Amino acid sequence: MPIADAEIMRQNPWWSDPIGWEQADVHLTRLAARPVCLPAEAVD
Amino acid sequence: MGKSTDLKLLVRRALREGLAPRSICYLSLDVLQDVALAGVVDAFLSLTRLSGGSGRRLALLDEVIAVRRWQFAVKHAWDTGVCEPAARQAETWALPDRLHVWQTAGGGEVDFVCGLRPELAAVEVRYQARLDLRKAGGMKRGFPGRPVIVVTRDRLEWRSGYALIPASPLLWALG
Repeated sequence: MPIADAEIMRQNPWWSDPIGWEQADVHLTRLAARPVCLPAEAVD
Repeated sequence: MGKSTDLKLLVRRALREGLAPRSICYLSLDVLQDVALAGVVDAFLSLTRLSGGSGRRLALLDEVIAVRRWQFAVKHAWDTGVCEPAARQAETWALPDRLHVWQTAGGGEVDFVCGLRPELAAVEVRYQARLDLRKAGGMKRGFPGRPVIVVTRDRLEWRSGYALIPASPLLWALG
Protein backbone atom coordinates (compact mmCIF):
# COMPACT_ATOMS: atom_id res chain seq x y z
CA MET A 1 0.00 0.00 0.00
CA PRO A 2 1.52 3.37 -0.95
CA ILE A 3 2.45 5.78 1.76
CA ALA A 4 -0.32 8.27 2.50
CA ASP A 5 0.23 11.94 1.79
CA ALA A 6 -0.87 12.68 5.33
CA GLU A 7 1.91 10.46 6.70
CA ILE A 8 4.52 12.32 4.65
CA MET A 9 3.18 15.64 5.89
CA ARG A 10 3.28 14.34 9.46
CA GLN A 11 6.93 13.36 9.07
CA ASN A 12 7.89 16.81 7.71
CA PRO A 13 6.35 19.23 10.22
CA TRP A 14 8.83 22.00 9.37
CA TRP A 15 7.04 22.44 6.03
CA SER A 16 4.11 24.01 7.83
CA ASP A 17 5.82 25.17 11.03
CA PRO A 18 9.52 25.93 10.40
CA ILE A 19 10.07 27.20 13.96
CA GLY A 20 7.65 25.45 16.27
CA TRP A 21 8.26 21.91 15.03
CA GLU A 22 11.32 21.55 17.27
CA GLN A 23 9.26 21.78 20.44
CA ALA A 24 7.00 18.97 19.28
CA ASP A 25 9.67 16.66 17.89
CA VAL A 26 10.10 13.62 20.12
CA HIS A 27 13.76 13.08 19.22
CA LEU A 28 14.85 16.64 19.91
CA THR A 29 12.88 16.86 23.13
CA ARG A 30 14.44 13.61 24.35
CA LEU A 31 17.89 14.89 23.47
CA ALA A 32 17.26 18.12 25.34
CA ALA A 33 16.13 16.17 28.38
CA ARG A 34 19.04 13.74 28.33
CA PRO A 35 21.97 14.86 26.12
CA VAL A 36 24.60 12.49 27.53
CA CYS A 37 25.64 9.25 25.79
CA LEU A 38 27.76 6.32 26.88
CA PRO A 39 31.43 6.02 25.81
CA ALA A 40 32.63 3.60 23.15
CA GLU A 41 35.93 2.25 21.85
CA ALA A 42 37.75 3.01 18.60
CA VAL A 43 39.48 0.05 16.94
CA ASP A 44 42.31 -0.02 14.39
CA MET B 1 21.31 9.42 20.87
CA GLY B 2 20.27 7.57 17.73
CA LYS B 3 20.37 8.10 14.04
CA SER B 4 16.91 9.64 13.92
CA THR B 5 18.01 12.27 16.40
CA ASP B 6 21.09 12.97 14.30
CA LEU B 7 18.89 13.50 11.26
CA LYS B 8 16.56 15.83 13.14
CA LEU B 9 19.60 17.84 14.24
CA LEU B 10 20.61 18.05 10.60
CA VAL B 11 17.15 19.33 9.71
CA ARG B 12 17.35 21.96 12.41
CA ARG B 13 20.81 23.02 11.32
CA ALA B 14 19.79 23.25 7.65
CA LEU B 15 16.79 25.41 8.55
CA ARG B 16 18.89 27.71 10.68
CA GLU B 17 21.41 28.02 7.84
CA GLY B 18 18.66 29.27 5.57
CA LEU B 19 17.63 26.24 3.55
CA ALA B 20 13.97 26.53 2.56
CA PRO B 21 11.80 24.31 4.78
CA ARG B 22 10.21 22.58 1.81
CA SER B 23 13.63 21.78 0.40
CA ILE B 24 14.20 19.46 3.35
CA CYS B 25 12.50 16.12 2.74
CA TYR B 26 12.49 13.51 5.50
CA LEU B 27 11.01 10.05 5.25
CA SER B 28 11.20 7.27 7.79
CA LEU B 29 10.96 4.07 5.81
CA ASP B 30 9.78 1.96 8.71
CA VAL B 31 6.27 2.75 7.52
CA LEU B 32 7.09 0.84 4.33
CA GLN B 33 7.94 -2.52 5.81
CA ASP B 34 6.99 -5.42 3.57
CA VAL B 35 6.46 -3.03 0.67
CA ALA B 36 7.89 -3.95 -2.74
CA LEU B 37 10.92 -2.01 -3.92
CA ALA B 38 8.78 0.01 -6.31
CA GLY B 39 6.89 1.25 -3.28
CA VAL B 40 10.03 2.93 -2.01
CA VAL B 41 10.42 4.79 -5.30
CA ASP B 42 6.75 5.78 -5.21
CA ALA B 43 7.19 7.04 -1.66
CA PHE B 44 10.19 9.12 -2.68
CA LEU B 45 8.21 10.58 -5.61
CA SER B 46 5.32 11.41 -3.29
CA LEU B 47 7.75 13.02 -0.87
CA THR B 48 9.27 15.31 -3.50
CA ARG B 49 5.85 16.10 -5.01
CA LEU B 50 4.34 17.08 -1.68
CA SER B 51 7.34 19.16 -0.68
CA GLY B 52 6.70 21.50 -3.57
CA GLY B 53 10.26 22.68 -3.24
CA SER B 54 12.50 23.40 -6.15
CA GLY B 55 16.20 23.50 -6.77
CA ARG B 56 18.49 21.76 -4.35
CA ARG B 57 16.92 19.50 -1.78
CA LEU B 58 18.16 17.75 1.28
CA ALA B 59 16.68 14.25 1.22
CA LEU B 60 16.87 12.27 4.46
CA LEU B 61 15.82 8.64 4.44
CA ASP B 62 15.57 7.21 7.93
CA GLU B 63 15.18 3.60 9.03
CA VAL B 64 16.32 2.41 5.64
CA ILE B 65 17.14 -1.08 6.83
CA ALA B 66 13.43 -1.62 7.43
CA VAL B 67 13.12 -2.17 3.70
CA ARG B 68 15.02 -5.19 2.47
CA ARG B 69 17.42 -4.39 -0.37
CA TRP B 70 16.40 -0.76 -0.16
CA GLN B 71 19.63 0.29 -1.84
CA PHE B 72 18.44 -1.19 -5.10
CA ALA B 73 15.23 0.80 -4.95
CA VAL B 74 17.20 4.03 -4.60
CA LYS B 75 19.56 2.92 -7.34
CA HIS B 76 16.54 2.24 -9.53
CA ALA B 77 15.33 5.78 -8.86
CA TRP B 78 18.69 7.04 -9.97
CA ASP B 79 18.76 4.90 -13.10
CA THR B 80 15.28 5.95 -14.15
CA GLY B 81 15.92 9.64 -13.70
CA VAL B 82 13.98 10.20 -10.49
CA CYS B 83 17.21 11.49 -9.04
CA GLU B 84 19.88 13.32 -10.97
CA PRO B 85 22.80 11.14 -11.95
CA ALA B 86 26.31 11.97 -10.94
CA ALA B 87 29.54 10.21 -11.74
CA ARG B 88 30.90 9.48 -8.33
CA GLN B 89 32.51 6.53 -6.72
CA ALA B 90 32.93 5.83 -3.08
CA GLU B 91 33.65 2.44 -1.64
CA THR B 92 31.69 -0.05 -3.68
CA TRP B 93 29.13 2.29 -5.19
CA ALA B 94 27.56 5.67 -4.75
CA LEU B 95 24.34 7.37 -5.59
CA PRO B 96 23.17 10.77 -6.83
CA ASP B 97 24.80 14.04 -6.14
CA ARG B 98 22.29 14.80 -3.41
CA LEU B 99 22.02 11.41 -1.83
CA HIS B 100 25.00 9.26 -1.00
CA VAL B 101 24.73 5.71 0.20
CA TRP B 102 27.69 3.58 0.95
CA GLN B 103 27.98 -0.14 1.14
CA THR B 104 31.17 -1.30 2.74
CA ALA B 105 33.58 -3.42 0.77
CA GLY B 106 32.48 -6.46 2.71
CA GLY B 107 28.84 -5.75 1.96
CA GLY B 108 27.75 -6.53 5.46
CA GLU B 109 27.14 -3.04 6.70
CA VAL B 110 25.26 -0.20 5.14
CA ASP B 111 26.22 3.32 6.10
CA PHE B 112 23.91 6.19 5.33
CA VAL B 113 25.39 9.46 4.23
CA CYS B 114 23.37 12.56 3.65
CA GLY B 115 24.28 16.06 2.75
CA LEU B 116 23.76 18.90 0.37
CA ARG B 117 27.12 19.74 -1.03
CA PRO B 118 28.80 22.12 -0.69
CA GLU B 119 26.58 23.79 1.89
CA LEU B 120 26.56 20.88 4.32
CA ALA B 121 29.40 18.58 5.17
CA ALA B 122 29.06 14.94 4.31
CA VAL B 123 27.84 13.05 7.28
CA GLU B 124 28.03 9.36 7.85
CA VAL B 125 25.75 7.95 10.50
CA ARG B 126 27.00 4.58 11.55
CA TYR B 127 25.45 4.17 14.93
CA GLN B 128 27.72 1.41 16.01
CA ALA B 129 29.33 0.72 19.30
CA ARG B 130 32.78 0.61 17.78
CA LEU B 131 34.40 2.66 15.05
CA ASP B 132 36.56 0.94 12.46
CA LEU B 133 39.10 3.58 11.45
CA ARG B 134 39.81 1.79 8.18
CA LYS B 135 36.24 2.37 7.09
CA ALA B 136 36.36 5.95 8.20
CA GLY B 137 39.43 6.28 5.98
CA GLY B 138 37.35 4.94 3.10
CA MET B 139 34.88 7.73 3.66
CA LYS B 140 37.63 10.30 3.39
CA ARG B 141 38.70 8.78 0.08
CA GLY B 142 35.14 9.04 -1.11
CA PHE B 143 35.10 12.77 -0.46
CA PRO B 144 38.61 13.94 -1.37
CA GLY B 145 39.23 17.35 0.06
CA ARG B 146 35.84 17.43 1.76
CA PRO B 147 35.21 17.36 5.48
CA VAL B 148 33.83 14.10 6.69
CA ILE B 149 32.04 13.64 9.98
CA VAL B 150 31.61 10.14 11.25
CA VAL B 151 29.01 9.67 13.95
CA THR B 152 28.93 6.56 16.03
CA ARG B 153 26.71 5.71 18.94
CA ASP B 154 28.51 8.03 21.26
CA ARG B 155 31.42 9.71 19.56
CA LEU B 156 31.94 11.96 16.62
CA GLU B 157 35.09 11.97 14.52
CA TRP B 158 36.13 14.89 12.35
CA ARG B 159 38.90 14.82 9.72
CA SER B 160 42.23 13.19 10.42
CA GLY B 161 43.41 12.32 13.83
CA TYR B 162 39.98 11.17 14.92
CA ALA B 163 40.06 12.99 18.20
CA LEU B 164 37.45 11.25 20.25
CA ILE B 165 34.72 13.71 21.08
CA PRO B 166 31.39 12.79 22.62
CA ALA B 167 28.92 13.12 19.78
CA SER B 168 25.92 14.57 21.50
CA PRO B 169 27.44 17.79 22.92
CA LEU B 170 29.24 18.55 19.67
CA LEU B 171 26.17 17.92 17.54
CA TRP B 172 24.23 19.98 20.02
CA ALA B 173 26.71 22.83 19.54
CA LEU B 174 26.66 22.44 15.76
CA GLY B 175 22.87 22.57 15.84
